[in-house]
Amino acid sequence: MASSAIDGRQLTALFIAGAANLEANKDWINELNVFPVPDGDTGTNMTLTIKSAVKEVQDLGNTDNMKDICKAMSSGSLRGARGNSGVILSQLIRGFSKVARDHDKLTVPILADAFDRAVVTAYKAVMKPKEGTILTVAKAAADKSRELADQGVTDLDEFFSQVLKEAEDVLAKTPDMLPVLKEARASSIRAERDWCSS
Amino acid sequence: MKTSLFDTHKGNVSVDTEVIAQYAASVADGCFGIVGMAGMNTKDDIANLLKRESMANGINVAVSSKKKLTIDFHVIVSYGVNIVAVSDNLVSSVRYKVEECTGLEIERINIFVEGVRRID
Repeated sequence: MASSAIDGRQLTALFIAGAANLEANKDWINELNVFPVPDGDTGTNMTLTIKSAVKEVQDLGNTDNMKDICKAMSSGSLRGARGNSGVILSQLIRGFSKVARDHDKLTVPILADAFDRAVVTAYKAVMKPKEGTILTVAKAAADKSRELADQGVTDLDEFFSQVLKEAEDVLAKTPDMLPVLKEARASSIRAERDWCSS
Repeated sequence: MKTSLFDTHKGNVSVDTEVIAQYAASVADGCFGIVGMAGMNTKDDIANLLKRESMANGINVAVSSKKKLTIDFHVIVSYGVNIVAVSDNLVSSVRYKVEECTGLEIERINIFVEGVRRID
């Protein structure tokens, strides 16, 4: 069934599903963790961060209020942020929420704005952003979202699947951007992918 | 400028603490949530600048008699980040990078959050 907008409850469901997907891939993400410190805890850190956000959203009860849901996502991930990747995730969510909270329903143009804001917020929170990491994949997803919005795409299934594909394509190229990744023959983190999963 | 020494079987190796501070600074550059170093970006930190010259980039490195390092970071964080997570991350990243690159052991890392800056 084609749909063109997400309401508060649907956003909650998507968010919870994304968090579950992240947790399910936690060990695999831990194995990919080679930059900046190869301590193998990225998956764990991101899972803890997003679960804190999920809990805060679930504590709201069965609400459709986009503002409350976005605030909960943002403050929950801030509170529960662990590790560099957790902080990045909390910043992505913070930026996304700043746009999403002002709308009752999220359409493709609004999602493109929200993804842009997420990426801008994340990039601004560090003095020297490094390409070939989460940032690169997030930016690619946001740029693709903007492109699809400009093209007038309204169907969310099409939107999400194209954004996800772009994120995965760029993810595959990250070893060429970050030498240490190439050395380890590894790849970077799939934060955006889990955002888009539904 | 203070220096630290360690002996090898063929001679002495001396690493200037400024070099260690630079490694530490490069780690802070990549730490999410840190948007500046106090003493470098804040215009009203002249008192600190004048007091100790190694504060110029907000990082002070001291070497103990046992050749162990203590590193102080004076940072500015962005508003809306988890300060504890940012600090923990800085500590573990610095420890890894400095110990890996210099072979010197770090005894203590102190983080002073001197300010908060709105980035959004």
